[in-house]
Amino acid sequence: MITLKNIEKTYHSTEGLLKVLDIDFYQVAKGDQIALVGPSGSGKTTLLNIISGVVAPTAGEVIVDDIRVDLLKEEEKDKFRAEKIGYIFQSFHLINSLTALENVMLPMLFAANKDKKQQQMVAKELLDKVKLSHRLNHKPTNLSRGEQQRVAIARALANEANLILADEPTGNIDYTTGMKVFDLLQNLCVKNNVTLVMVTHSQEFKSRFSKVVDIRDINKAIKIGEEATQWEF
Amino acid sequence: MGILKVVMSNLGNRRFSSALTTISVAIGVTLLIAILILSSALYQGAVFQGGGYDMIVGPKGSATQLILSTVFHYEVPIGNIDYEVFRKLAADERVTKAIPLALGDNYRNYRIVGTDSTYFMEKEDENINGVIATGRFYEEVGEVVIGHMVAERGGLKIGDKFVGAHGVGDGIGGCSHDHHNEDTSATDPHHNDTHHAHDLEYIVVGILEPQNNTDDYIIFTPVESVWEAHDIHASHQTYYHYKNEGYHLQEEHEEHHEHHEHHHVDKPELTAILIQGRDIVSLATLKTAIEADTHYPAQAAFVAVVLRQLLKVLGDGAMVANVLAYISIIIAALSILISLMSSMAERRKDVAVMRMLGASKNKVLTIVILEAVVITVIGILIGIIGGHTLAHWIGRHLQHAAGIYVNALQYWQGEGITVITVLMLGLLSGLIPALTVYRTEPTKFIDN
Repeated sequence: MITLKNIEKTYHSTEGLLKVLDIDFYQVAKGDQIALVGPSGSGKTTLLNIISGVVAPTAGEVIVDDIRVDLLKEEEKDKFRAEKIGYIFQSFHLINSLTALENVMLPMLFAANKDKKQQQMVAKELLDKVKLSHRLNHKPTNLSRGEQQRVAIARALANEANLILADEPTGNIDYTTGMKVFDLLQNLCVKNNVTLVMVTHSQEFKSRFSKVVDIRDINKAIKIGEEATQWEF
Repeated sequence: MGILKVVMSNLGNRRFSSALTTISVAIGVTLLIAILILSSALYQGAVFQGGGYDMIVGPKGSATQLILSTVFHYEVPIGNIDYEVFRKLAADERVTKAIPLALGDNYRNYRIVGTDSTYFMEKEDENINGVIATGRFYEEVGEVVIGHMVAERGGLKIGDKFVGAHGVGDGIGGCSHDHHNEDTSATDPHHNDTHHAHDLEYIVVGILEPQNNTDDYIIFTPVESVWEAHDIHASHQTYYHYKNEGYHLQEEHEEHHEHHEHHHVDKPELTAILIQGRDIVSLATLKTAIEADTHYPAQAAFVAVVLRQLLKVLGDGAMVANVLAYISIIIAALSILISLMSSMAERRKDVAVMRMLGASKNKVLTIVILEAVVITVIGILIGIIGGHTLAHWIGRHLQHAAGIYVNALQYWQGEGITVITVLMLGLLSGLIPALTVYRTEPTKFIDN
């Protein structure tokens, strides 16, 4: 599903070039559920952004679902993200001006592969799956944090994405709600054979994954005890 | 869900600032459209009103005053000219039509204008009753035909009798005095007794069809009525009489003297003569001849020349108003820009999220530009309705004050250009913030 070859990511700084990511080879199989762990500033988010094509690697190959993401043009990357990737953020990042239903419909609008009726039907089904069918027309500000993250999960699944990239999705919600949200996400991924890469700091969640990857084990740019904290891109 | 839904939701989320910016656009467009309609209507009205005549002959003095007082029934007349001038002009080969006008009196501020049927006729054989809505055209001294606004607002109807007062009134009529015979603050060009009512009793015999010009506010009567009211006893023949019968000035005059029973206290005079000429060369020589005549001193003013001067002044005024209106539109465009820019902090995060979800740069660019366009379009629509309504409202007052008809309910040339200009300004105001978000790097504005 995901293959990373000789990935490097460097940034210019006042102190010269700063390498934040250096991965020789890493692969994730289809349907895998990976917990990506590591201290702050160790390149976890940068890795997710490189996989999704939001950030281009300085060098190396990124292959997702047989697509060379690093070679795609800007518009092709947009289309790739819209169709193949589901993103879940720690701070939910729902669009406040849109209702729960419209937030879930949004990725379908960008993918432009369904008409309005289909968009609505799929969004309703997904919100039903995350048990929010009674909150369809609520704006994010009228939803609890747990509900907001459930909307975000439904949004991530909107285009039947093959890969969900979740960046600490339970980081902003309480433990009990977090567990519920996590169970929901994991079950939906299993049910739909969706690959899940989830950044987490929680020991509790780590134990629920079959595979736990410490970024420091694959990222040669980070030496244990010298984690950068200011270069999270 | 379409892009427009996202746009409308964004605008709805900032409904207060969206409403304010929309209102500012609407106000600007209202002013632009209203100014456009009113200036166009004034221009059109001025041309239409003076369009039929080539030249106005009247007493020496200001040509503008002569045109305003005779064609637009505005301003006080300069004075009078000898009736002989009319007789000579009516018989002149260079003239194709000559219409006498005798002013001097008013009834409740509605001007009483002495003229003959040729004033209303395009051709000699035209049925004069075609211009009459009710009743008939006047035939005898003292009979009047009134403009339809005189009937509507002046309270006169067929069969009503009234006595005129000296002076032409201070405008196009509309005095709200309740009593017949009551004089107004009119100024008479040759008597100055503004509070004296005449003995001649006028009787309304007809009401004119609406003319959509100053004639709607005029009381028309035979020239002889005006003379009679000023104790001048003479008879008048129409232009066609002189044209058909030939000109026998002295004989006819003397013959008329013999048949007239009244005692002459003064010579018959006219305030002005409206002239249609054979061609421009004839008119030019005619003008020279008229103004060179020392026996019957008069001036001849070309309507087109004076109108051009008037319209230039009108155009300058309209231009100043237009500049002010465009400034208000630019302020409105700036308010759109400020509104969109002020929401940029929040917008950049939303845009970053959208980009992460697969929105192309062009799509986010479109969303922001459309927000500005939607505000502008709604503002324009409100502004068009507002502009026409304002022009209609001002037009009603203008019609009452100057007799110029403003049809604010029609499309006026220039509205399309105005709308496109405002739309472009709105588009431009959306382009700057749109380009800002276009360059947004998603990862810089997502704090996880």
